[in-house]
Amino acid sequence: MTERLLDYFVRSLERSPANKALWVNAGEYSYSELADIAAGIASAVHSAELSPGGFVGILAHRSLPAFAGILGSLMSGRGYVPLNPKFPGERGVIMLERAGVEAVVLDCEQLDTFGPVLHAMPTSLLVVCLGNANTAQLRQNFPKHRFIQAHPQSPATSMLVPSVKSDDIAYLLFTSGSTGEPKGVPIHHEAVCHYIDNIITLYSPTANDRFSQTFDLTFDLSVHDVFAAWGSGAQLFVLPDRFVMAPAKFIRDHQLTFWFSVPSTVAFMNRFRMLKAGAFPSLRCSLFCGEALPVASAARWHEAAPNSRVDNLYGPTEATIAFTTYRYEPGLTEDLAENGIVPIGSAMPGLQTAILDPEGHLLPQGEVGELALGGPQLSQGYWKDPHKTADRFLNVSDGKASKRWYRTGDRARLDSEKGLVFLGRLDNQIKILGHRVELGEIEHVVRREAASSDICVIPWPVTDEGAGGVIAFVAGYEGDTKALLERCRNGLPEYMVPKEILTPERLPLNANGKVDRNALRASLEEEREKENA
Amino acid sequence: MNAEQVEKLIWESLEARLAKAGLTKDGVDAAASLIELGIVDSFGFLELITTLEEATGAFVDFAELDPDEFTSVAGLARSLIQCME
Repeated sequence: MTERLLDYFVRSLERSPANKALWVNAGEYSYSELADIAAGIASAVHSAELSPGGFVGILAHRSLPAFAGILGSLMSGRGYVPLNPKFPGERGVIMLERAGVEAVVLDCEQLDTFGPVLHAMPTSLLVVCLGNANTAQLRQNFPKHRFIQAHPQSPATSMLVPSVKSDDIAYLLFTSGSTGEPKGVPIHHEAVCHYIDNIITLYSPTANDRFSQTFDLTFDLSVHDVFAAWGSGAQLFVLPDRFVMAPAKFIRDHQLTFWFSVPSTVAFMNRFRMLKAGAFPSLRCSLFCGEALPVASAARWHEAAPNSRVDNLYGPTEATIAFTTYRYEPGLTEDLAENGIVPIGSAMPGLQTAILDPEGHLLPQGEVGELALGGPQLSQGYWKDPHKTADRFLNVSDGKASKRWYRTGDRARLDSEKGLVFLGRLDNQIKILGHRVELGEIEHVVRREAASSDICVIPWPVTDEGAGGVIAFVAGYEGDTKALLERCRNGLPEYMVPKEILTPERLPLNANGKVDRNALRASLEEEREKENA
Repeated sequence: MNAEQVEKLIWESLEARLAKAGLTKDGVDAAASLIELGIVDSFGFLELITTLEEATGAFVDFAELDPDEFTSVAGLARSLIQCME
């Protein structure tokens, strides 16, 4: 059992320091080189007087400073909080403030992107700079903060074995929250190590493997990319942003062997005829997670990567990356699978699943209910939010003993042959291009910016994998919708910004007096059909 | 269709999206990625390609291309022309 997230890297570093650990932006770095860069960061963090146990913010996007920054944070004995350039600066500031971050790692090549966050931060930060930094200029531009340039150095023993306990937090991620504020999900070392240990046992990666890296660091699936690769001494290949949705050439050019992405990528590649039979012979393991995997997508991928197993993984951030797995076999047809979706299968070793009724009682096998997850991968709860924690994490007794469960908000059924079958969301939480989104959060921002309570947001267009985006309805709005959209853009990540704002005279209501989302969707479909006729 | 006509068709297909982004044709570099400029997202790009393929009858072999080569107006026009030849 691995105890600390950093241990995966250190193990491979000690075994084969000269092996390549990372390919990013056309540069390659060995385990030893990467360790030296990370040690420089850890040393810079150590040099400042910071509160014990705080987090290090990562102001870098899928670059060398981003990955070295994660390692450097862990080497300094601290957890990390990644930011995303696709999020508005306002959201980044909220995340850093709520996490109580006192130190950040900055990719100086991405200063244009993260500079606004530094400007808006009300408190002073220690900013550890990587890349071409003019620290004197930075100090002048951001007088509130302290800047220090990180220089590579050999890691001290104390950095490779920091005094970190298994229940310390390894990373803190923020997910979409229905109140308009992102929810913090802290994941401790024990939970994430349980996951990575399982992945290494289940899929047996080796030092010869070449892993894809497609996920933004704010998405917890990125933790799988990084530490499953480094835990096995393999090399991580960071796909440039432009390749993430169209990676065919990249997979072939770099002879990747492990693939991990959202299923939307498969649908996109299929549409662009990139999934030719036998196109990716180098792949031996292909995993999909983050949204429903249509059987048709799994089948096309399997044809394109004939030497690869194709597994569907499922799990929310609160239960650490992924919790269940199902191995797709070509015999699974759309007719055999519920709603044409690949089942989510069964819990990984050491984890438990249950189906609950609305009152939180365990349901017998075969009944449809809310999927609940239990075991060592559960987060200890939402960051500084005992109310929300009590709402989603609960103790359920089976008559003999009480056990802690996380209620996922997903509908599921346990099938005797296929294992767990995913049946959709219980509430208004949806997936947009793999990102989990609460419609309530978007509505909150639209409501605030439109100064109107008569609003509704629906997913649009809806695909087999989730949604391509959302459309907002603001009843009777007479202002400039373009300007309204711009204001919403300041408060939401790009993928959550409504594609359009429509202004009907009123919103349809159902028998309960609630806004009738189905009626809105139907009228929109009718309107679009007329437009396309 | 020649290269000029194909490029003209692409700009016409982009008109509504450019207007939505508050841009005009003259303000967009034909060699720049439409996705990186925020004029289309991946779904929008799908719609654009579908429109263009229907209009030209050409089907681009995207599997062999770097996205840099087909996400700009100029690159897309080049790819479509090559498929028509």
